[in-house]
Amino acid sequence: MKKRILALILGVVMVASSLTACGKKDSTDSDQGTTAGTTAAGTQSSGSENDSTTTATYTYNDYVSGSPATWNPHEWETNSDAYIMDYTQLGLYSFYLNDAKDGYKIVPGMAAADPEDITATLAGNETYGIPADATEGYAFRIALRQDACWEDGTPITSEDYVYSMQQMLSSEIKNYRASSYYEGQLALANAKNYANNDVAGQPKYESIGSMGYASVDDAVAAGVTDLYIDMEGAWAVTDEDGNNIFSITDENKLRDEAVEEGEEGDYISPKEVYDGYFANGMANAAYQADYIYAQNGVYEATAWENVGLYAEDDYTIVLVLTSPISDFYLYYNLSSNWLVKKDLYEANMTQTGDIKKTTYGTSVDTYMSYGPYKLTEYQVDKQITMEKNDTWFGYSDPAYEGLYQTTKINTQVVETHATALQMFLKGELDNVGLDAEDMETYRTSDFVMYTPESYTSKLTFNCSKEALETLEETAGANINMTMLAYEDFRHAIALSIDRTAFAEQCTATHQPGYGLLNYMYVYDPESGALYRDSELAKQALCEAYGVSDESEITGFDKVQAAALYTKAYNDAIAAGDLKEGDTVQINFHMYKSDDAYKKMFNFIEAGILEAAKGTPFEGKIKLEFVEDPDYYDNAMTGKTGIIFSTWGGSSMDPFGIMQCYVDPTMYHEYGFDHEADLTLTVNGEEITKSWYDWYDALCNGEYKLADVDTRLEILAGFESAYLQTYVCTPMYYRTSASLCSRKVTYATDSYVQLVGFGGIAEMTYNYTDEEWAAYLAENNNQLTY
Amino acid sequence: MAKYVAKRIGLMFVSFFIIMTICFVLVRLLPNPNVAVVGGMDKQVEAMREAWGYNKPIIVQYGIYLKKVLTEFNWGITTSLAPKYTSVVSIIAQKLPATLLVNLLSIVVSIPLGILFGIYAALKKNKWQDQVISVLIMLLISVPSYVYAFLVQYIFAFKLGWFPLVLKSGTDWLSPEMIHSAILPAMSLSFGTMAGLMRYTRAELTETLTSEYMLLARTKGLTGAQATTRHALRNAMVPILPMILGEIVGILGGSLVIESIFAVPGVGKLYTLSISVRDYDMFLAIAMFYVFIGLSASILTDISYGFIDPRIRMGGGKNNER
Repeated sequence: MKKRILALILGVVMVASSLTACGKKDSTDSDQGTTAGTTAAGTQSSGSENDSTTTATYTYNDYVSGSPATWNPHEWETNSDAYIMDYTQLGLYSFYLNDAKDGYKIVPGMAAADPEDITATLAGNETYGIPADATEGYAFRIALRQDACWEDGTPITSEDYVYSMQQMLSSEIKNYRASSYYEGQLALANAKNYANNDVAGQPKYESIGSMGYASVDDAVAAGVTDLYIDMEGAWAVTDEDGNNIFSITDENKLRDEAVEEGEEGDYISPKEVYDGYFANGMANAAYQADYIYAQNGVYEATAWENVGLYAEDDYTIVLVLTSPISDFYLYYNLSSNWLVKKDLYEANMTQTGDIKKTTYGTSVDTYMSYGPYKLTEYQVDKQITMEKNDTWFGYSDPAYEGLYQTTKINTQVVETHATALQMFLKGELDNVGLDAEDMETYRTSDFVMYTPESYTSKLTFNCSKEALETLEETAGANINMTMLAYEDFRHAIALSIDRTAFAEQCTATHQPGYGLLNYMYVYDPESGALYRDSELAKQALCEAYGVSDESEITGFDKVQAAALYTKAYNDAIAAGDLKEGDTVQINFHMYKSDDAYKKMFNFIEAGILEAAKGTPFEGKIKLEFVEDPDYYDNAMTGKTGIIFSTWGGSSMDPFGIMQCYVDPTMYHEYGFDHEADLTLTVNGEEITKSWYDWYDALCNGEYKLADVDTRLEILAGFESAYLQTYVCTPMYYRTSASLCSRKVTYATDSYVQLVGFGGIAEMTYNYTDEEWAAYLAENNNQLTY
Repeated sequence: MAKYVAKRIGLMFVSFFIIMTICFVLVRLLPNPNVAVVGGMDKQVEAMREAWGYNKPIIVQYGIYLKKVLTEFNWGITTSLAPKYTSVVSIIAQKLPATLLVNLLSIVVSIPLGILFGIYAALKKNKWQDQVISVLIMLLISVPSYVYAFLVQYIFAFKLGWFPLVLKSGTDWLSPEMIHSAILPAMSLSFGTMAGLMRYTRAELTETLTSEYMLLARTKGLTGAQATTRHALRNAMVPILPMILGEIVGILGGSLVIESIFAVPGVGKLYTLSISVRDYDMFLAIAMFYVFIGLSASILTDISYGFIDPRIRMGGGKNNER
């Protein structure tokens, strides 16, 4: 028995000692432990010690929140997927910071020179369908760099481009990115038919808009007899097989999953949707061009030789497009590449279901780099390592001198923000994103970098008197909810809120915002000119806020707000919409009721109540916080008072954003009349159209191809007029913040459209890996920023 | 016994098949995630779904699936998760070692300590040592493991620098550096298990220690320690053992939160992500892997009763009745 007791005691001692041993080992290995996260730095440093007589190493320690699923240029889907591609591939043309570091410049990458427009020589070509009178924009000859090669040294020739595109468009593979080359700006001639060779002979349906008809009447007048409706786009329903195109006379019912089975509208036929909503005179007749389809021939079996990409010689390719493209968008679209290495692509191809799929670009072994860096390690959900690709032509080209100082990119997958921040503060990462709580600590740090996003957040009002009256019916006695229908009242609310203080106190990093569009939008891609910096855009804001200079805009004026409250009160009393003694209740719907949302709510409530002091509304306005995860949907059906809404879009297309404000399927400002007239001055002439028609004319109609200045004038006029309806009031421009390590310096502190802060190409180092390790040791692996 | 085991194994495969059928049908009934894809890409996605057979009737899909599983042991490929279009079996095999490493370390620490502290608390029932352990148990059970994870990471890795903040990269799973980097996540995982075992052991042992047969044992002349280890502890282990086996099975599931905090490239995230991105094959393969482990463990647990407590007999035959 004593032996057993002894064994038990020994067991306990062993467990305890093993833990103690761990502790001792940890302390003796503390350096090892703390540098484990900087493995690359450590490795590089030791390497650099060995090679101290040769070259210093510069490792950039980055992190991502998830592993890329594939970096096959034919299959990538997300930004996360693009991560490895950004470093290991190169477009035919590249964007870099200009010499002044305040804009971008476009330089040839895999191309040897600028594209040569050869449209005139192919004009009238029946195979490619180029109009006989076309002179530019359809066909381009691109000379390739003859020193470009894969990381194994194999030269990259025009055959690689042709082969890669053939695979990209293969109907046997059905690549995710194929449509980038058969639809949109860079649609290659005959590519769509080639990509649909598996359905050759079957009808090809297209929206009547894309066929050049503005309406059903136009299509019918042109001889179109059979019309169809896109039920997925028009009503978000399909049949059981996923088909979405049906004849407008089809009376077969489709299940509408948005409606509970058994309730009215649970099944609906294409005919009902067309007749009830899209036929002439119906509410959505304006969208016939988008949702009404017609058969545009059949998919024709197309030989690869007829697709608009071919090689003229070993180092020259020709692109032939289905429609003309401007210079900027040609460069922009060619800044990403479609190249794949033939042997690896095919070796990893397998039949999957009825199609072929390749695992090209899912591991080091199944991928071949050809950009400034090559992939050397990849562990799913853990680690990505890329090192300088010695075979890249740029390292021996004087044009790239001074760029790409980074010798190694060591990227870890770190999902948890707290972990990433601690790694950064221990010098194991060279950048870290910041959240709202972090900003309380780092707001004044010299190392904070702000990256603007293309989103503007705004207060959106329900301005429909009828909808507000419906809400009021259940609100109780002496509660008035219709005051939001008064423009002066909404204007007063807008003036009651100090946006600067709001952005500072209630948001992590965002900047106070006054316009519908923020500083991210480029209205002239050729010059990179920003919309918000244009004189017309500045003037638009000055008009909207009633000041003479943009710098005077605060959007905060309690005196004017009080006057407007009083005026709205008197008007409402006179109209019988408000009774003395009524309390005005505004239901403020917010996504969640956590501290951050409450803080925003409290700030806005305090601002409104403060501004209403001394007016008849003093003490008679009550904001009701409503937690509402469906606040967007409820706003669109008039069930809210105020919500926060956010819109953003392609920063290269500020004009398209107008749709978000006038398309009834998109905007949240319930009660706004998108069919009301708006008169704008265009080139000195006053023109009147409805709000929606202005958007349509600018983006789809007569002003689509107008000169940039005309389009700018329309957009600025639209923005100013819209802001003065006070159906919404911009609050802040969304911006993300990050901390940049002391180890590196970005080329510029100011974010530049398309090139950010210059990226890895133009980043410089303040420490070699060896020096950085020493610096960390000096600081006990605890850095402050 | 052999007949009983054979019967259980047979039933296990029936259960396995039923569960697999239910999982397959339920997963395929989920709304098509790609409806939300906008832009031109949705056409490709739809075409791929068609080609993969996702638009065929479910029974047809299931037939194809079963055929592949049974004839080729082909559980499918990933359609969304990294690395794309790769065999799900190979991905699970790649990610399981990290989960096993962290969780085995956790078990190695938590089971002995949990049982020892539980025994100690039972032996010191209602004394201050027992009160301290009870408070500790309540604390460890009531606070979620991720709170400990953040705490130990901050204290031992960030402030003291004794351990790396995250698991080491690489596949050298048994290297000292890797094990060193796995200690903090293992420690975070072990607190909950340890507390559960402490509480359970204490409760069971307290009950057996006050049993009449213990009094008999003492009157026979056994010392307190002898009676405790030979009789009380052995009886107390009958309900504890299934719990331990359950913990061991649970380790294969990984922990989403702990894996996320310590950047452990394990299967925990894979399981949840496969559901959210509708990676059907991956979800089914992992789910069925766990089902298999769970069913196997339950058989093992049942059989183990017989070894721990000779009074328990398997099979339910008349000869085994007492």
